[in-house]
Amino acid sequence: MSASRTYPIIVLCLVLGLCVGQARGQNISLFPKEEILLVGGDFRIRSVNSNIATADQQGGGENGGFPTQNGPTKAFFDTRLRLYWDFRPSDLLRVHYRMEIGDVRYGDGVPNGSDVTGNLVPVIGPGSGGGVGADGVNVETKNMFLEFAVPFLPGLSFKGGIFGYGDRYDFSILADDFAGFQLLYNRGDVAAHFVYLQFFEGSTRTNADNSSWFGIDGQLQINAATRAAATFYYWLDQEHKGTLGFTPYQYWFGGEVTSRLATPYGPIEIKGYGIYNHGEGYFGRRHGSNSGGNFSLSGDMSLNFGTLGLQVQYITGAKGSKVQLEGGSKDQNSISSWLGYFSNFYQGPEITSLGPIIDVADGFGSKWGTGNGFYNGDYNGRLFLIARSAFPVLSTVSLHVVGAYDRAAASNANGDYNRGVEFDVWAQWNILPKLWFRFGGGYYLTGDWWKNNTDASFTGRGPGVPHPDNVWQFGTRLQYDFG
Amino acid sequence: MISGKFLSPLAFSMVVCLGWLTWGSLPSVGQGRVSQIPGPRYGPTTPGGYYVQVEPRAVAIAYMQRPQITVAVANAAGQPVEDVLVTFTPSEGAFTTASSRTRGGTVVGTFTAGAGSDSPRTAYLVATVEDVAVTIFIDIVPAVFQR
Repeated sequence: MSASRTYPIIVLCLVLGLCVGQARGQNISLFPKEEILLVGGDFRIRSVNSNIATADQQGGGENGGFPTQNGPTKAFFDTRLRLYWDFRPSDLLRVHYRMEIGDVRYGDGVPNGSDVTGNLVPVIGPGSGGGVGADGVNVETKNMFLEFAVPFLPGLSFKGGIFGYGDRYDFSILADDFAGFQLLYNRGDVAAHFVYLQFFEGSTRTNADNSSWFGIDGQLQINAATRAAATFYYWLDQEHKGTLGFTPYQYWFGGEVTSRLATPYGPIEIKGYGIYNHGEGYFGRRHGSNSGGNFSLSGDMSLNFGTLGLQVQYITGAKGSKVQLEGGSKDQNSISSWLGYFSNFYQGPEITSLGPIIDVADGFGSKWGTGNGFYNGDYNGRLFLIARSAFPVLSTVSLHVVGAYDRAAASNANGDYNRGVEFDVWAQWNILPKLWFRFGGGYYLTGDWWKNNTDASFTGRGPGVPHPDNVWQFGTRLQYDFG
Repeated sequence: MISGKFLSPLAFSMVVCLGWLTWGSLPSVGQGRVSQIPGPRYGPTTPGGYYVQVEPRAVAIAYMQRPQITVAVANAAGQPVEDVLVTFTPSEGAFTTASSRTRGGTVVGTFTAGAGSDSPRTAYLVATVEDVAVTIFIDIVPAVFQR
């Protein structure tokens, strides 16, 4: 046999050999099929009744809005299926895919949309499938990523693709699904990760239109019951450079301590964090620099009859309105900080945070929760007090009661601080394993801060209403989590 | 004779393949070998004088995932101790067992978050051996962040 045929055969044998070796090392067959696929997901049906967001008239989307005067109400059912697929050829590697079908609103064939000014925009197409005949276009890819353990470096893994990412500070900085990379390290008392997220990518031939997010986060177990964590994020936003003459940027320093304290009455989980934010001209439409802090302290105590919790959050703010602070009569160097992007507190509250009852995206305590996305944690800052509780009234039923006081850290243009008070009551019935039903509602008493407040409008510049409605929302959620 | 034209790619291929084979054949962490748990030991307990280790110490999961937690109990010399009672107290949901005795020096179980608990938060599991309690904080995040 000539060398030209012998050596390729040798190489081929070695390649086959290494495949066998790899397969044996990973305890799987050489060509696995059925043993690598894991499926999970959740299915839900919910009902929503609310006077939040007169979205069909003034924009803002169903998930947000702000108190209006004599505003209309909305009521609807919708449904959604999420499926998660995990391809696991070994313990060292997986490819994950998460898809969503919905949300499909009952009877909703072709929902209209709204443009950036809040005007209705008719949408032509097959719709989401909620109408008669179904046949909706309603499938979305939520996540898809590859994750594997890096060889020779125990504890180190790589993740790349589209995945969910959020900060550890009640999602005050960011939380969403992104395309990016992540290097994760978890060994012993240390867990850390580096993350890179790409927000915008224009022409691939230039970097001038990129918007990139870099982050590093680490936590250390200090002792048997306490851990400490620190985070640094940096956002370089060339995409929104526009006519600013410089590249907008933001950075954040954050620190957190979590501890479980034993008391004679029961254990208390204490969590405290602080974030400092500084940057210049984010989203390209703000010409000044911004600085601010977000501080939170919470304690949740487990008692014989349930859990009781308190949380206080303070976000620094500046006095005035959006118009004044962002380019009007006030100092342009004092634009708002980026510290209330999402406000996703444990157990709510329903209206001012992510709603735990019906899982509405953002309460109006978040930047995205309102049509204009410009207030609460922004501009005037926030002082937020939350009291929360959960009581297992039956073996399969728990009752949850939450109250919150919402106040601006600095006054608005009218000199007002008081945003409102919210009360929530909801119950959860665990019908079968993984099948549960949640129902209840929230009521928000609007304070003076909303009256005649130009920030409380879709553009953030329109006239506010003199007598804003109190806000209410109640609903039901039937959900099955599987996998 | 092996000509020089083939020698380089052959040598390169052999080095790569042997390296890969070695990596694939040798057991490593996560491939079935029982390994030493990294990280500090907590103790000694009273009255047994045991030392406790927990793996993993940092857990971040989507609410429907069930992380495996291992508690190892050893004596002062680092040798595994049999038949030591370990109790588990989760802040929510459930752990495989409320209490169990060590076999081979360890107790292994899985944590399940509370039903319908899809809101982000930090839960914890307390593993107790005699008078030493070790808290494992479990960060629970949404499966999909975008609502």
